[in-house]
Amino acid sequence: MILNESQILERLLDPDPERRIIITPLIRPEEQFGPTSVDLRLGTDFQVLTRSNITHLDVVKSPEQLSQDMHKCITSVKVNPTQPFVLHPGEFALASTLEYIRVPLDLAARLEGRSTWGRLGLQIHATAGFVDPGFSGALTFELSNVSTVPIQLYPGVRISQICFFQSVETRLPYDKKRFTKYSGKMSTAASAFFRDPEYARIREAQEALTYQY
Amino acid sequence: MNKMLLKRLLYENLETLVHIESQLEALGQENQGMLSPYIQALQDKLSQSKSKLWDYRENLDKLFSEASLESPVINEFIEDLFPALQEMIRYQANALYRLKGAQLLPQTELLIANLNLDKLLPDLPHLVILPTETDNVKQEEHVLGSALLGYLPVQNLEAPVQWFGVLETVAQFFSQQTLQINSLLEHLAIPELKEAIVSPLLSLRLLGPGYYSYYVLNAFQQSDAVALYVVEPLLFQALNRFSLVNKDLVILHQSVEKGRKYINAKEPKAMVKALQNDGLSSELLSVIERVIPDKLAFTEKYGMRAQLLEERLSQHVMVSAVPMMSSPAQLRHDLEDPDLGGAIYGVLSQLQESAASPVEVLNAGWLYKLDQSLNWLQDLINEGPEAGWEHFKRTVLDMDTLLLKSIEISEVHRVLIHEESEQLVPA
Repeated sequence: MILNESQILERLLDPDPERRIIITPLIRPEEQFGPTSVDLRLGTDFQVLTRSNITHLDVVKSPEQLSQDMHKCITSVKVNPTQPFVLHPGEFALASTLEYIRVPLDLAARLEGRSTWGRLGLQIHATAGFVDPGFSGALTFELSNVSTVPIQLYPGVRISQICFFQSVETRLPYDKKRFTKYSGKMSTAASAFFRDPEYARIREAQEALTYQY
Repeated sequence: MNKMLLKRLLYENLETLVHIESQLEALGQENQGMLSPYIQALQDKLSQSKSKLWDYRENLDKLFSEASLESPVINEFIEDLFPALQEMIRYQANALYRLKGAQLLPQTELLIANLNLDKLLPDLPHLVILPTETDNVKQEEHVLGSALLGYLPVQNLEAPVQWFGVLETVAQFFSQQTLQINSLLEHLAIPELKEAIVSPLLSLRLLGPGYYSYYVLNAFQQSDAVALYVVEPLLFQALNRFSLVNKDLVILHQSVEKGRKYINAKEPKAMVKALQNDGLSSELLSVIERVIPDKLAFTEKYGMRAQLLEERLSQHVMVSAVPMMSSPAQLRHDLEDPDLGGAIYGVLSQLQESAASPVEVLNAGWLYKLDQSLNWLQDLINEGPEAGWEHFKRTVLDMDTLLLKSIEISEVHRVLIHEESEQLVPA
């Protein structure tokens, strides 16, 4: 069941901190609330990929080496409130919500774009719009411009909306889940795919094969 | 010296080591070339210093487990451990200064910009904040041509709760320009007394109780007798007068009174006596209130807002904005009305939050730190050198991240809302 505006409001006001949704700062709630969603704003920090320092990401390198490689191919950009971040056609960048979000254990959420921006060709996530129960921190945007004209993005503009779904209370909240990589992040976080345990197993298997032959 | 003060001083030193270690790690990631052996060597030296800390394990345990400490234990902290830690901090700060140069965080500039100093002093020269390798900014040059220079020790560049000293130059400049202060204090028997007391009082008026905590703990680190015997009582009197005192600040003040006799410097009796002129201190505070009016000062209402932010910090929630709703229970009741209709906009508007100023954010940081840091220190001692240190470091850096992000986001909030510097008061 998707929560309507009154149910979201009740959860924002819930005296029980375990059941409370947190969205802060709420700058203009009367502009941000829709029938089943709350608009979220663009934050101040972005990460863009630069290809000139690296040929590829070799996923079987050690996590420490891959972390260094990621550092080489990611440029962090911070903009102030009156300065735009320009997303050119075909470009991809990571960003995050201005707001700090906390989702209680009996709710899940989805991050979606707003049609106002969709009509200009802005996509706010490529594939990962789902927010687990127990998540806290800033949500990540996977921004891409699929139009043919550059888009100027200012911090604080409402480019997305979040909606909440009732769930049976989980015993596996996001921040307690094993192998959680992004819990509690306050800023835009680059992919930490190489910390997925599969890669450790692949590395071990490759080493075993090298030894065998 | 009482245990609480020893713990606070130990915490301050360890917090600084965390910041140095974190800056070295970041520099190590950025510099994979020629400088990396130097950075590695600095990291090794820091590790040696951390492991030396555990040589004091027995006395560190006593700091938490025993009701009172014997003199030899106290002396070991004061004469051995603290000087060793401070020497290491000075050495590393010097190295960081060479490596990093002048790299202020934008949040430092936001702190200064939001204090509206130009409204206080229309002809204030251009204020420039510079990183410095010394923790004693009094030694540095304060005016250069038409620029007024403020200083931030390099090890504190990314430690927002340690930014309270950056206004000391402005306060000094301001005190020299203010006729009311000059005429009140011109008859003091000891002229240097004016320089010692006015600048901290002006800073406190602008920056709130966080400044008091910062000032007192720094004074202990530098064994500054004038600060502890002459200025601290005045600052605490000012905190009371401005209604900014809480339980932790009272305890800190009492610790100062008991602990200052242990510092390696004598009480400046002549200065203390010169200030004991009937009514001089309260007259001075009254002048400070007049020259920095309420609308530019950190007054009680901002203290209340900082307390609301501290509650959020204790839940690890970003503190860029202050909740303003008068009664959540009433709003919940209003929502139960099935015929609420368009009146829901009334409920929504009450959820609007007010942008926190950087100085409110930093005061919330100090209030939270005073409340929690001794628990963090105890966890560190209990958990031991490796797991304990990593946990401690994570806690300190997470708080910094939360404060820095809050200052950054609050600026966007202000731009979007065009909020005046006169903030709303929480109900």
